[in-house]
Amino acid sequence: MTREATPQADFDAIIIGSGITGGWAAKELTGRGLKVAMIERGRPVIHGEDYGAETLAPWDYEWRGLGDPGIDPAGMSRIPLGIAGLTGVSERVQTPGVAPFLVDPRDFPYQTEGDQPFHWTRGYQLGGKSLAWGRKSFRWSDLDFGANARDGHGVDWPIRYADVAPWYDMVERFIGVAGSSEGLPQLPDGEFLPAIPLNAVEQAFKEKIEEQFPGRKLIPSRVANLTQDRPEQGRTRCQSRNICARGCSFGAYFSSLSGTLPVAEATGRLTTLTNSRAVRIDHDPATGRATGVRVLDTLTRATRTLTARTIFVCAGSFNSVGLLMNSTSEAHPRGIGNGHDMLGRYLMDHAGGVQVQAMVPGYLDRNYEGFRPTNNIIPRFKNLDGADRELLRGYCIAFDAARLGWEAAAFGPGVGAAYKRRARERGPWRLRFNVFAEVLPDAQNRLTLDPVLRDEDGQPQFRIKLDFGANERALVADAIEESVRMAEAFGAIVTQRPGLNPRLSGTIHEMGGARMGHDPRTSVLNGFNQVHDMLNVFVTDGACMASSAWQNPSLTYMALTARATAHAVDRLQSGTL
Amino acid sequence: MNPVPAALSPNRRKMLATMVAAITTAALPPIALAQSVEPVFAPGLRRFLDAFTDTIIPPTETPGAVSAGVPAYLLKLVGRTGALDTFVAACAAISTYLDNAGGGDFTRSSAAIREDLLARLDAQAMTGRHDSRPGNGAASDPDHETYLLLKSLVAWTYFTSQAGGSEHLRFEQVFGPYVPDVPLAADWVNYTNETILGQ
Repeated sequence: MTREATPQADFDAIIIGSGITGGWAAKELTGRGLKVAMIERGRPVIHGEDYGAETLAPWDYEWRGLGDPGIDPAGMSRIPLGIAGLTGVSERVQTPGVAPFLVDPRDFPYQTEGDQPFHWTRGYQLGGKSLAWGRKSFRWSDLDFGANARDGHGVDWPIRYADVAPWYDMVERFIGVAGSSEGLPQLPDGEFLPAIPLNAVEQAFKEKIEEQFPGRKLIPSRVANLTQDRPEQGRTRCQSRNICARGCSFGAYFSSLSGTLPVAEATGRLTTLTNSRAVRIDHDPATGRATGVRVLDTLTRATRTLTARTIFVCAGSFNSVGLLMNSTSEAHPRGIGNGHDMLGRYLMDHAGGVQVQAMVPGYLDRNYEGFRPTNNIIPRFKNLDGADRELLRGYCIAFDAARLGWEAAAFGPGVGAAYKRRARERGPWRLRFNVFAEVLPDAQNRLTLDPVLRDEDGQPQFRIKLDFGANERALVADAIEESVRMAEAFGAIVTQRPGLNPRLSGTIHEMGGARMGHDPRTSVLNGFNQVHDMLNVFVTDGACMASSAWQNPSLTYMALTARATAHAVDRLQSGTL
Repeated sequence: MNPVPAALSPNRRKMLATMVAAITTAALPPIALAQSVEPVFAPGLRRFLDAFTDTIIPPTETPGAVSAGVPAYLLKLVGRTGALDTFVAACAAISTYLDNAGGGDFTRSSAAIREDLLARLDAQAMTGRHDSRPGNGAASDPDHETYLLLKSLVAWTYFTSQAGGSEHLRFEQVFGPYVPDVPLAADWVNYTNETILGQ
């Protein structure tokens, strides 16, 4: 292992960021023989050893995990909105350590614009946000890759499913995805480990809605939690704790630290620099090629330049865009890949934050054991032919049924011994439908650099504008209506139904800003994630996305990264990069 | 029960409600610990707090609220949040309410009478709602609202204490593979660490 070794002046490749795509770039590039430097702005984290909050209980903390109320007088969350999407469905009482791998936004300031202030969730440490991701791993289909061309929103993707399918295979085989094969054209099957099964009420609900609503399916989420041991990777199957975001010393969920980085390090060709922030990409005006990366040591404040033949930008969507934007020069006065002012535009997320709840009569003799680290989904069922011009694209509904726990009784009616005893007893079953809608590409949703304000490292702060539009609101409204219909068809009693125009929130799936496309005049990246006008710079994280689809995106990011690394190595070996 | 004027102003109720909502519904991470000092509390009000919390959660085969340290923790918490005055006023309001309702000193009443008084207040305050926390419906009476805020704090503090969370409830972390469908065991006890967002 060469972690923290002094880097040599010349690498075959520099990877900026060690998160879910940086880890894949490191594994693939070193595996193909390249000498690689990986730059991570955050602190080092050792898999297992640094998961100190993993087993703590609320009472292990002076403030029960709420944070010091003397510092947060109003007790308001230090976690950006959307944390539930990161941590699964059930970690409220496990708040101690719920977010040891997410930054406090007050330490890393940014500005927002628009009607819906964007809450930016980040993970600055070795492994990045892969330590705290939601782990849902869904393939896209040609319904998604062809959507922009079909309805004219955004630019056409330069790739289709067939281009990515073998890379999906490869990624799924390595990370381990629990899931079920369903034969759905809108959600291609993959190479799955046994699925995390439905409980009794979920199974009954599945049978009911699939009978009563032809074309709809309820399936277990496809999730990167092992349901079989992986001794060759030192990983053990999921222990049903549902505290993944604290780090898992079993290695049961995939992260850069549990999966890709150990393989890259084993090659002896990886140099990892933590507390090192890439502040600009340098290039040679004579060749137009990138030559290296200027790196700020965030501890000593010293700056140095690392050189390489190719650069993989995997800093996380917005940070990758900002880095390109900040890499100005005479030849690129608005930043690399930004001659047309497309860089930073067409930011996307998924529209969510809306939940329908319903109580289920009966099934009181049925139970389950363990805390499942995910839920289930009702995959997109609307507009599957893409022909609907009133309601573009689609949505999925994350769904679960669970028995209420102690909180229902503790905050319910009563006092005394009977009230206290009820907190020990299983409550009734409740259904939850979480809406998750595609966001159309919109040029007005954009990231820019603030001309005045600086961040913690003296770099320009980001200004982020990411609003949801009429189509997203229509999709969410439709999803609410359909959720209510399905709940009532099952005989459940709806107890929470959002209003006609609910407040939406993002789902920590920020993407876009450096979209792929055929045409260098309207896109930043080509079909292999190369910057059109600087081909030895690859951007393979979510910044590359030309549309958002309705699926969780990380699996696609990983597949695109693996695909781009193969292309880069081929071109390097042939001398054409 | 004779209604009495609310001793807690609307602004103070709002402040307390904000704190209770944040504590009992938010998911917050740990941050650096700081020194805290239990504030001075008038003996009479401390006696009320002991009686109030132990009536809501009495000792049974598992510790009650006082044994679990609920009153002391609440004082420490509100001392740190800067809401001590508001909390004291809230306790005073409910103490007065219960004294009037029972025709005497609530804290010196028998356990059975205290439970009866609180049960009646609780039933009135919970009318039309299923959750005591802020944001789950408006109480029709200011004292009812104050009571629900205090009860929410007591409940949260007890069930996240070691006694409440690991003796009255269970706290376990490693289960092995998820088992999706089993009969509900007759001796089932809820887990502290199985929580459900949005409840």
